[in-house]
Amino acid sequence: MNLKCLLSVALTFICLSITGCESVEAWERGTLAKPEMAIEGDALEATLNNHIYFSKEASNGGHSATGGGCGCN
Amino acid sequence: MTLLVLIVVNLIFTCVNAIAADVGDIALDVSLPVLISSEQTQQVSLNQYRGQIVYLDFWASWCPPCLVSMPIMNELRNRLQSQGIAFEVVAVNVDSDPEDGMDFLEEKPVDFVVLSDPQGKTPAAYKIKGMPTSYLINPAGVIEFSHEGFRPGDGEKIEEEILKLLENSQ
Amino acid sequence: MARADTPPTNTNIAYRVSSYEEDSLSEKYLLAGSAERYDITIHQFQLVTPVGDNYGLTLNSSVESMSGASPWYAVDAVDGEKSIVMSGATIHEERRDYNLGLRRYLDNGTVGVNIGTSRENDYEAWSGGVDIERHFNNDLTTLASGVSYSSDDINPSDASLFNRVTDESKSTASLFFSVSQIINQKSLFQSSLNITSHDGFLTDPYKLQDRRPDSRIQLAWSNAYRHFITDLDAALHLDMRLYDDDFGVNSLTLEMRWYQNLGNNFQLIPRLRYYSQSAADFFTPVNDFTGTQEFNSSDYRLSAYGALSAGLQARAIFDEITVSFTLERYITADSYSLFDEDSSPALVDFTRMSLGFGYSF
Repeated sequence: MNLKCLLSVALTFICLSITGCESVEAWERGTLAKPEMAIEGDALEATLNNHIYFSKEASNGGHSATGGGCGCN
Repeated sequence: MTLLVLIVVNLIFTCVNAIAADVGDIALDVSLPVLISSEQTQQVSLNQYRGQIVYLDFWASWCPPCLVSMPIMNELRNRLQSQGIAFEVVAVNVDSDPEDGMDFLEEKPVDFVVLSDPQGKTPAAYKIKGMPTSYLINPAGVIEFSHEGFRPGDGEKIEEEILKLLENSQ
Repeated sequence: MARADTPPTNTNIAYRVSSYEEDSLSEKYLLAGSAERYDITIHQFQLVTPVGDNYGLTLNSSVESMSGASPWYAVDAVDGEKSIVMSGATIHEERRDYNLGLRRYLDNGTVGVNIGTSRENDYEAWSGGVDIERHFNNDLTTLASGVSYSSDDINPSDASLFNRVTDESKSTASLFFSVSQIINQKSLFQSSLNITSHDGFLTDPYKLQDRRPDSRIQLAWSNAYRHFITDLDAALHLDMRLYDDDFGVNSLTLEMRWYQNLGNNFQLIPRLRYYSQSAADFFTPVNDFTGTQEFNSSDYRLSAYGALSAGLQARAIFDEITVSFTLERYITADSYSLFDEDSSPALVDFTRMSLGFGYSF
């Protein structure tokens, strides 16, 4: 298992998704605003999962900040 | 990592904002079908309201602050009208599925006119940058004030602007 | 947090009760002690409410009651297999966790602060953090960054009886940076980097012959993709994390969720997760009782293994009330591992169930 190889695969994935980026106007964000499109959905489910995996696995980190959403003010 | 940074920087600078409808401009006419009406084809145009102060509001059912603004603006409109002030709210719903907008209004009805623009032609013409965006238009049809976003206390700020506009026009 | 860029417009309260049950240790590996591993009941409570026009307040608390036994040490068995000695008596413990967060919503972003504390009878931690996020590019791009710090005091129970340490402490500092990008009307992507540094007593005081370095640096790179499929009225979530630390642990996490809407009131969310890690440099399947290794641990958490987890959540949403039920099964195996390194016979499998209620007003 080579971590560098994985990194390059991941980087390619990011580049592919980003180069296909379009401008989405403020009034076109109804789908993005759906709760099921949030990076972190159910907050309590996410907290519990993170807590369980953190205490059973050696890995840690992956703080998920928010982003996307409705672009409302 | 360098590549990633480059891509991100590139993104930030390539998609630059267009300039929105400005204070001092003549408000572009908005002519759209009414969202909920007994007659299917009923069309309303913004220019019909010349001679009144108009609050033009672009909103959608999926935008939480938009929903906050609706009952507040409804109350303000009814109060000002009862004081004999020539003030009207014209709301443009931009839900791509108008049903979503109707569902919200069925639960929380408003007395002002709500138009439907599922294709988003009018918010595009006004080049709005955020949701909701509203414009205060004077009786001559000129944009006097524009506002992005809506917080519960914003109703009072808008009322102040309306009263200022009334003072200036007298 | 439901929306990145607007303060909450309603007050939401949520409660959740979960049952977490680890499978018993296989009798094949049990040399002494109890084969019963942890059973945990978790109560979670959350309050999210607007404060004034520009602030949102989040209060989280949880209470966990644990009982069961955990691996104490590992030795070679006569048949060439490994044997685990479990802690003898059943442990009963309670953990209480409180966290308070306040977020200010500005025109182009938000600033958040939070403080928290976590307590067990042998443990007390205080933590705090600050984060900032800013929208760019007509709100299509969001950059976020944050720091957090935690200070933990460890006072193992029955210290004199088992010759355990007393009054130890550790501190954790963490920094993250993330980029979120809206790709089109139906998809968005987020990539984040997280660096965490631990200093102090990192050894497990309840294990025999457990000796770990007193510092650890962890690096995690997480990626999330969200895509909505209008024809199916469903959202696809893909998550991937790559992880590396100076204990010698590398890991890969892949997760997929499918949010299937069923009309306006119901949602089914199946999910699959794969995780695999390499072993820490000082991990050995049986403990080093000679003391020749400066650092040593037989903790299964530091061994190489792979884990598969499958889950299903059902949600019902009626106006202001939400009810959800979640079931998850997590299984580990040496054979699922991406890494050809030593595994532990004490790998844990578990079943988790949650029942949640939410009310918004």
